Amino acid sequence: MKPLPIRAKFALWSGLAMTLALGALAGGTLFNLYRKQLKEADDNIATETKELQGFLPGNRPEEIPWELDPHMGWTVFDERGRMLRRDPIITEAAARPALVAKGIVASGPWRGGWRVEAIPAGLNRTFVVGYETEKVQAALADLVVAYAWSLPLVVVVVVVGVWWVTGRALAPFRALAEGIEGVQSDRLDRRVAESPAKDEIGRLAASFNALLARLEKSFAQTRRFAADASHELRTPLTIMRGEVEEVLRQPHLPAEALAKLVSLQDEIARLDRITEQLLQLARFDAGHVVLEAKEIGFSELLAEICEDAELLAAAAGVVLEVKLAPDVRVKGDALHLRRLVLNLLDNACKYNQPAGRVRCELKVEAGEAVLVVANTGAGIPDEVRERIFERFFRADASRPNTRGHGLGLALCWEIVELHGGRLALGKSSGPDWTTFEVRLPRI
Amino acid sequence: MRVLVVEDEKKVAALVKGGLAEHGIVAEVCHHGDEALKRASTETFDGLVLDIMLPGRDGLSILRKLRADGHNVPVLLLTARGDVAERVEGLNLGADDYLAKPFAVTELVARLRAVWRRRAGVTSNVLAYAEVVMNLATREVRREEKTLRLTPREFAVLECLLRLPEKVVTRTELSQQVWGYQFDPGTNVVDVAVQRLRGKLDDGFPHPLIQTVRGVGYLLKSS
Repeated sequence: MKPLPIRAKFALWSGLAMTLALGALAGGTLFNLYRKQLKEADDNIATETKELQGFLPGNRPEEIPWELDPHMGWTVFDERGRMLRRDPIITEAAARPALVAKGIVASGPWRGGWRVEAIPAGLNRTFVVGYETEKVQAALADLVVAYAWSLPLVVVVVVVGVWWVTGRALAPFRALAEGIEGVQSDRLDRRVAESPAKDEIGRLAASFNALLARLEKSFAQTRRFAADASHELRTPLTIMRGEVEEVLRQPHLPAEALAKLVSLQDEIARLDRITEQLLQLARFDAGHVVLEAKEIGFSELLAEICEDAELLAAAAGVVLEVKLAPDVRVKGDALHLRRLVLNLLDNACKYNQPAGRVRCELKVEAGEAVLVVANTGAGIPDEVRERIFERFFRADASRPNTRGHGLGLALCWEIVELHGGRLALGKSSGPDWTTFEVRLPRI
Repeated sequence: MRVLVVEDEKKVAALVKGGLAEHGIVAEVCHHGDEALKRASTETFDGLVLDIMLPGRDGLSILRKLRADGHNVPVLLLTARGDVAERVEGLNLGADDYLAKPFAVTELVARLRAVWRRRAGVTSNVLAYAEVVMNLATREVRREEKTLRLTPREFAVLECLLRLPEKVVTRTELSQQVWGYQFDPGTNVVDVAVQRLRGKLDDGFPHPLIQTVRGVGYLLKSS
């Protein structure tokens, strides 16, 4: 379920709290009012009783002319419980429970009921004085109606108010979030709007902008480093390469000097390639490599690379098996893809067993172009499977004389990423096979 | 032929000068951008080898000014490798070709000669030694009357050897010039490629042309 926005949560919780508080308030006042009204009724009964006492001497109780409050009524019973007289507003049924009770009791139904008290009146007569509870209930009912109208209104006003206030309070956060979403890694020169007020939002925006500025600076430095380093390293490499070549061409060199020069030339070439790959990786890191994607016949490109693959296999003394599905087209940069495939094939030949086999297969699976490069041999131990795409990582550290410097697969990874594909070390397809799988989106 | 080499790195300039001299091309050297523009506009050269990063005016601005003033001296740019934008801008400004650093001097000579041939309207671009004739335009290779069917890599290896006949070309040089800087095939692969080329070039002829210098490289020599 989608989480509620903060303002909805605020509004709901404050509405709930308000309802509870108002409910408690309403309950309290109603209960108090009820108690007060009852007490008033009982006080009235007591007052009338006192007045009655004044009439009693010398009068027959049933003949006393007695005017009562409009909500009150009285009856007279004889010693056998027969009713001798009653006020028209009170009934015998309502009055009788007072005869068997002590003090004031409630009688009759809850609605239209009475509070009644029996008073001994001499001459074997008993008075019962009653007070209609309808008056008490009417007062309560008025209040309940007033509450029923006003309290929900208060809750609605509070919910709407909190919704509005929270929305206004959060508006700068929303603006900030939108600003941040607009900043992408390739557009670090953008800044989020800073409010002039030095409040929490202003501070947040300012510190985010400061963070962006630092990021932008560091990206720019990486980029400039790649460019500067390429220039600075190339000049000495050009000089070394040229001078070694110059000396190599001189006639009558002693054999030992010649061997040293050839070795030196090889090392310079290696340094040149490491430099090139490092700078290429630095460019990838800086997000500086833009794929100039063209539609490429991947099948044709692979067929073309096969001459090199064949030479690599022959030099390593392994057998190459090629199986290419025709007319597989991908979108990409041919130079990058060639480098990727040659690197994988080179590894497959290099890290093979004597008289081993290399398989290069292009197929189509689920709309993807799938290139499988597999080789026989010792394979890659499970504990380093995760690390083989790291830079300068070499699974064969124990074989220091093997050509290569641990950058090839890292570069392959970046190239495949750039093309929106995936590169994976596959589950071995049979015993003693190492399999690399490249998946590229197919056109 | 007289060429002006504009390069602020004195050692690189000296190297280029020496390499060109070896192929009979006279090179004048100049280390500063402003001076280079002055000399190129007032003196007559058959070509300009122009580095892009220079003190004073940079290479691209010199090229722009020369072309704007109507000078059409052939220009070969030395660029940083991988900087595609720079290269494209150079060619758009009217450079005849470019070469990425680090480069081999033999390649510089070959590029310069190709520029001159293009300028002279010579379309057949031919390398020849002994009985071998290689046409770079049609990619046809013959030894005497026999046409050889070479794969692209074999063709490139033979081209390298033909550019420096009777001189040893090391395996590293072959690897760098045939496969480029993007991929290091290793010297064993160079050996295999040369063996295959040898099979096509020398089989059936009494005198083998490709000779091996053990531990160093190969050379083309008719004994």
